[in-house]
Amino acid sequence: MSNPNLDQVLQTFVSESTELLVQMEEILLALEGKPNDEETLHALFRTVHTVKGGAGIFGFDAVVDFAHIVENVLDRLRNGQVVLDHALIEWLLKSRDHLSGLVETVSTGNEPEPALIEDGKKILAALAGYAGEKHASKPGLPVEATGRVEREDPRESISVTNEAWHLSVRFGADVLRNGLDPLSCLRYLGTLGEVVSATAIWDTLPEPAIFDPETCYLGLEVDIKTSATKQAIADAFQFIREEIRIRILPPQATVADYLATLEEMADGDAPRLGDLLVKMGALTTYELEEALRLQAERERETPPPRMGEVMVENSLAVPEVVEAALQHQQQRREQTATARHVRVDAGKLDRLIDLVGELVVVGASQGLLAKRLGDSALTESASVLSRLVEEIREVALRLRMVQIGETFSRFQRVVRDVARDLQKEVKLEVNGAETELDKAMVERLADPLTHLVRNSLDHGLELPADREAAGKPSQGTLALNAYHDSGSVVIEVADDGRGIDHQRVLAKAVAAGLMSHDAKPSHAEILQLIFEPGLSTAATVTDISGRGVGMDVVRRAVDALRGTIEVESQLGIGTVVRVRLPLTLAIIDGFLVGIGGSFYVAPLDMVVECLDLVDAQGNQHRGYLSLRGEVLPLLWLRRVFAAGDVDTEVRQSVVVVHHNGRKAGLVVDQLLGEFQTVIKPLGEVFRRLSGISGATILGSGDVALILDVPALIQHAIVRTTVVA
Amino acid sequence: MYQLTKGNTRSTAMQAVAAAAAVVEMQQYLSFIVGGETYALGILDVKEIIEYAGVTRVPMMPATIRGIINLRGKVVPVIDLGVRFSGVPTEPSRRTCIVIVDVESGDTRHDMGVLVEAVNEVLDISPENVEPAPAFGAAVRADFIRGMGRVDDRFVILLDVRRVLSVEELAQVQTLAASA
Amino acid sequence: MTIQTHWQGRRCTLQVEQEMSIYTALTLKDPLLEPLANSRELILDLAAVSDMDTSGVQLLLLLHREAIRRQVALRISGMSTAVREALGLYGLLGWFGASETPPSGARA
Repeated sequence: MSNPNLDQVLQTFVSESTELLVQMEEILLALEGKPNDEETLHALFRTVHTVKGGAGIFGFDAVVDFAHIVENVLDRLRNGQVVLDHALIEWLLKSRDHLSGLVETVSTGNEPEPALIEDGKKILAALAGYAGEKHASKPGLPVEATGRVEREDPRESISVTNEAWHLSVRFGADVLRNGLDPLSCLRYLGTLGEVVSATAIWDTLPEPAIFDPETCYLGLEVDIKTSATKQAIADAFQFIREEIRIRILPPQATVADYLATLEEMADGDAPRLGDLLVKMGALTTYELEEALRLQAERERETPPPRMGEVMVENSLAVPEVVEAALQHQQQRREQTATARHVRVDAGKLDRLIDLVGELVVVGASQGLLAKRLGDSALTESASVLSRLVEEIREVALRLRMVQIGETFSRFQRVVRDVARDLQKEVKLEVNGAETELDKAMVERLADPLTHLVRNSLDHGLELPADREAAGKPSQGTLALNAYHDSGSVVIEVADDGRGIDHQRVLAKAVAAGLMSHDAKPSHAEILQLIFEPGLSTAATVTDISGRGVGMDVVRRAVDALRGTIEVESQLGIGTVVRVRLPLTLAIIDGFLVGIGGSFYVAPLDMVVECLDLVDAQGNQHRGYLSLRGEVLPLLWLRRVFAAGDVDTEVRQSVVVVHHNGRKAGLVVDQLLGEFQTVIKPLGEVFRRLSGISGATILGSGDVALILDVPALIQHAIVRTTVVA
Repeated sequence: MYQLTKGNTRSTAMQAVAAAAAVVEMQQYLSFIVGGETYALGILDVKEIIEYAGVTRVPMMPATIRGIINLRGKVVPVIDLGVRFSGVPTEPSRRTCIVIVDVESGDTRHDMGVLVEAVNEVLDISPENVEPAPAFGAAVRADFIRGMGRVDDRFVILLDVRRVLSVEELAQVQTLAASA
Repeated sequence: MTIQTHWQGRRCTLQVEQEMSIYTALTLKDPLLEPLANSRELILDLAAVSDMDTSGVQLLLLLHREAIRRQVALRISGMSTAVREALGLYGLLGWFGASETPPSGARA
């Protein structure tokens, strides 16, 4: 596996398997609530089946063998031969974990460790009961059932129960005007067999005033017993086929025949679903044409309908036949991905966004040049260009947006497992799963979110007995909410647990020297203290507030995403931790300043105001400034950045910045104004640099550095405290 | 999908093998001057050479990191080899260049700029004319040297780009607190 | 016009003596619907209808619906073979309170 390209393929397999196994977990957790959802059971089967297929290509026998057994169980499950109880869900979850472990191991080229193998054996032993012998669980079903009969069995109950063909015909409006009379088709139909019933459908007749006698409004439902094929029946309407919509449903016996045909069909290439159904006789060529047309019409829908859906929705074919054909087809092309989604290397996407970012910058500088030249046509064209580029940028950025739902649903398992370990009853509620944000951000959110969720489970939510004693339902609720709010994304972790005791947090803060004795902080200010490093170790906080592990770590992670975090809590009622994040990491509204001949950018949302430093305050040894009676710690960036001494001739300016309720003044040489810019990461070499969070390229081509305001404020406060 | 990608893999893999074979035969090096001494880098590590037109200083970074430049929209760090080799910053002159090098670090690749006094020429040095690095006495740290290339009657120091541009070493920075 | 209209108080009898097809449908609509405005009972005599196609069936259905809406009793007093066949094929025999029951073979 040293070949980098093969590695890449392998990577695809691993990432796809991981996704599938995550899906599998989600499905299993969902099934815990409603174990008989047929659709879901199919989806479950497909996850394992696809992983097995991928593993087969790489010759990962360990994965294939294990997946095969699980697949057997799942197959029997969806066929109704096995009942999905809690024990089985538990085993299937374990199987999932095991598969995940196997995939991870074998994909790194290692043999599974003995412990893992043992683990697998235990699971297989448990699954054997479900997968092994054929149970004659359904009365009337032969014990020595063939695969085919078994497969048909669960469908019996939902099948079309009549013995006649059912025709559903709707005539086109112009059929009469074109000199065609559907009556003659009906006459011909009568020659094919016995018409059991015929019913005109005429509820479509309009009001008399607008009733046009030459327009056809009618439809017809016919049941006919005939030995003719579906195609022959359809041919009865052949000469008006352009003018009608016809659905032909086969009788029960014929459905069985289709399924049998399908079983016997030679294994060739993976044919298209429509072709397969026509070949089976379940679909007429007319119907296929129509289905294709219908599908094409709905192509713009998201997601675009699949052929099978179109056919079933429009009753072109019975669902069970389509389903069976789909399965047949699926077996042929399990390994080919759907063409509807294109898997794109994240690096390529980033490159595209980089380039678009460049385009934005160049466009802006072109606009400036055009204005300077005073050529109105040029200015006009430059503004059109920049508007287009702006649109392209938005589209490009949207490519990176993913829904938060996937991340949220991963917590189903965390909540379930942790709650069980803690012997708590917890229900996870997810709201706003469709909220989109930058993929890079989603990835970096996973850890802090896990922290928050675990905290809620661990310290926020009470034991069932305690909850009942407090007059709450014994089952606690943990909610993950996401929504957009004025240009940012808000993510909340909320619980209806015991809440945070302000007084005890305050006492602790005073004891830790974070707050003076006589301070009279507001509730919000007190709660904000839990994010302080000194206050958030598990040992100290768990016993005072029920908030624990590493809230400062969470805040740092959120800071790094240019977000903010706040907490709201009412004792006895619950706690909400609210994380507010920018929509994207790639673009920033900034405020440009000059320091020692270099350019720096402060994120605009952190800039409060700008002021000139008056002479009396211009003493660069001063560590603070009195701003409307408030002490504002100052940070002389020239000194901090070792950019030379302050030129006393140049009037210095102060940019007042804030973050998390704290303010500081950054002393700079020049204030250069607001602008929007694309953030460039600084790269590995600068990873230990603090105070600078990235770089950006100005319209002039110059590089500007982006100030890490939270880190600078922290630094200013620490210095002021030390100086004072 | 796997199969499809697999197919592509095969052809790209062949290209990689072909490229590897070419390395053995070509043995071309780009020579340049740092602190008056001639050094060379394998030509395959070099992406391009650009004229020095100033860099943006990044505060709180050691002198080895001269700064960053805008390379067609990408932000690329520039390493001053003068400082890296002997602690003496390179004085910009008309001949000063930045050699853009493709560096592998962990599982990612990125560009780094190397500030040199002047770029000389591309040298052909066959493997038999490369001698091992001397244990001592060379102008730079022994582990920076991949070998000594003989050109006519002189020796050129062939640099080990991974050592010279080790991200691990270059990433050493002063912290905010320390600078205050 | 080969529709005879006979009024007996609020009972109206319509005698159609022509084909009821796409060729005549336009001319048939109003004469068929008009009597509904003033009648309590509408009797259709279709014994002399020489031909009936889908447009004819459709007209009858419209008449049927409007009659119900206006609480007019609609009945067919006589059917030609053509009418019986057309209504039969659409499963409509018996819908109009037809006095004659169709022969059993009419469907096929």
